[in-house]
Amino acid sequence: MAFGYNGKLLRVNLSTGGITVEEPEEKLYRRYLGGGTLSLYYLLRELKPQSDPLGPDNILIFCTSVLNGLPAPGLNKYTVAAKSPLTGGFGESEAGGWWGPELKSAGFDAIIIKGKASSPVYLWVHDGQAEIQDASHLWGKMTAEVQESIRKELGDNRIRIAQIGPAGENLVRYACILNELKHVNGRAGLGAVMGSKKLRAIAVRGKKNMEVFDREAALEIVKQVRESYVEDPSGLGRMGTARVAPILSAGGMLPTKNFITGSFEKAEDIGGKRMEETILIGRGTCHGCFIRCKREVKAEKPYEIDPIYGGPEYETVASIGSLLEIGSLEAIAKGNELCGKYGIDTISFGTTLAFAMECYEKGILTSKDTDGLDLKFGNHEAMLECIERVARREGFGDLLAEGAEIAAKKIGKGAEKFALHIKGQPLPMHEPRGKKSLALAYALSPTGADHLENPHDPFFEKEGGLKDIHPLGILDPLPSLDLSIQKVRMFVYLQQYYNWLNSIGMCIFTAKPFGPFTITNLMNYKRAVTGWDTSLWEAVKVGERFANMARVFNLREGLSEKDDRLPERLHQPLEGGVLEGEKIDPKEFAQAREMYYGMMGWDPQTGVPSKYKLEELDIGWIIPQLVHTQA
Amino acid sequence: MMRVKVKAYADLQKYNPDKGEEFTVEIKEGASVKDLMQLLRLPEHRVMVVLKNERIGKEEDLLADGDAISFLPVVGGG
Repeated sequence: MAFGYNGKLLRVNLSTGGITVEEPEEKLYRRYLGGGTLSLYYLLRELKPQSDPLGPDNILIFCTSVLNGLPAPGLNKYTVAAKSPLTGGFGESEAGGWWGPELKSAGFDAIIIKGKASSPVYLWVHDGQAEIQDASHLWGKMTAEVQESIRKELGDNRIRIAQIGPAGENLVRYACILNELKHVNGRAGLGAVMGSKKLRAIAVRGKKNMEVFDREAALEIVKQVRESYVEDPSGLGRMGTARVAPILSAGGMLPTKNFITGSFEKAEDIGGKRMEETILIGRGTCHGCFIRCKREVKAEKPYEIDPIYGGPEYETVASIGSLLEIGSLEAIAKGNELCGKYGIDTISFGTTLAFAMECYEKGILTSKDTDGLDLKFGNHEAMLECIERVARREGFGDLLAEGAEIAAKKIGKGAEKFALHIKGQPLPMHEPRGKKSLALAYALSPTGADHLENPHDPFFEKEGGLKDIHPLGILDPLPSLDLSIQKVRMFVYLQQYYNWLNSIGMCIFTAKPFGPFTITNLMNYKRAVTGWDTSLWEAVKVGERFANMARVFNLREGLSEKDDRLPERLHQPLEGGVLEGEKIDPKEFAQAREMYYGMMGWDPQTGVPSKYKLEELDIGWIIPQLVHTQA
Repeated sequence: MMRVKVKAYADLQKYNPDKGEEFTVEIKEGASVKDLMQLLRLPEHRVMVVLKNERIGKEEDLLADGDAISFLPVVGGG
């Protein structure tokens, strides 16, 4: 009897049309839990090394978890994973909403997709069965239209749909997958992988409830979590993630003008408070969550913005706002809408465009190269125009659609120093020179530059902030600008904690340190639901398992310690803002990186996991996939 | 007594709901930033950055009449 999950995975082969159901044993679920960890189990076993990420051999996995969909706040995130066309390594991204819980209600914990359809299709998963449906009438259409069409033709408005947009169809390298038009698997170019398989959407619907081992205990924990939450009138729920833009700017760490400076004079104009005063019409949420951090916006002038795509998050007000010196919230919200329509990651688009704008400013690109677009920093009309050209791969858009790394290589002339990416994944909107654990997080994340590896440094500068993470045994506060051995250890512990959260599909905003769900309560909830006599020890082992599996995957795909580095700009001092002059010292970074490798049980020079570590984590079966082994 | 101008961003406003985002405070001569935080009931682990006259300040810094102090809350993005 499976408690909390179905015990069933759906396997789809788009080349043959074959659909089968696998029923893994309980121990597999207990060892890997779900998310990227369970995805890696299948990718490592079944994906041929060196496969083309945009070819039919790549495997695309939609993976919930043993706890996803339970009626507790935050347990709604699912992972999409594959080999990434941006990095050539392991790619994963999480999204919330209701799609993950609905897949579980439809009877499956995960979908493993292989091959490529000969013509556009979508998958219809419902009540324990699945069919491949023709999608040629949907191909080329915008995401809202496709959502409506599928619901209409299947006769049910409650169907949840995860889909790509035209950008994914056109293999834009940072195309995303989105569900309900506003919950996005944004990073790693997974939308392009889905598009390469000619898979436009996955529609899910079901009514099954998961069995819970100790229902009373589970309910009691949720009650405690609910009662401990006091809504902050200026906090996440009321003002959204974008409220932090003016705060980070005042603190000198709002990425501005392609990370040249950390302060933006128009930061107040693009923040969550301004949004609340102007275009905000509502607050959305995800399954089970009372925080309601999602935004709903509407506008007529100067741009017509359709509320169906939701309002911009912090990452977006920075990536197509401050990063491009654009101070118009309406233009940013319009850009957010267009990225939702076409299915483009706002972060990667912004960082790629910032690269192009800096090249333009320095004369490396001229208006001849940009289809006549005046690509000056601040030109929001050009930004909006570029979204559509990127999605359609038209003219200059075709170059931008490749992402900053490849675009820089094609342009040459010294452009590469302005392309801010790690392993090909464009930088997200947090400033490592102000929060130094991010130097490690960005460089060491298996998926390239990722701002969600760990909770950021400011939480843990004072004793009071450590309370939330005491169960991990972190007892000493550290300054945000510290990158000492102690900070490396803090990062190692927090990264494995977050790896565990990803494996169970828990939203970081509901878990500590952001939200009301304490680590102890979350552990007890897992025990109550699954019936397993489990512990935080076992949970952190799953986190480590993820880190090591992802590392081995990347190594076998040809990545190495050479890719665990920062763009040169982050080793240069910040200009302007109260953190002017701060930089990541290369020697300090190299020492921290070596310390990280060693602490993880990897070779301190090469970062190759030792076979002893892999055996300790009970993943010795991946040892043959290591090209080098260390005694 | 001295008067200092205070700006409390976003999540820190809840500790003084009657005061709003920007306000003036009277505080004893020789007070430090830490004294001001205690007066305003701001938990130190919730304050990410202190700005004193638009430069980074520390809790030990002494206040002067007319100083502008900003308190930035610990936040994360998304």
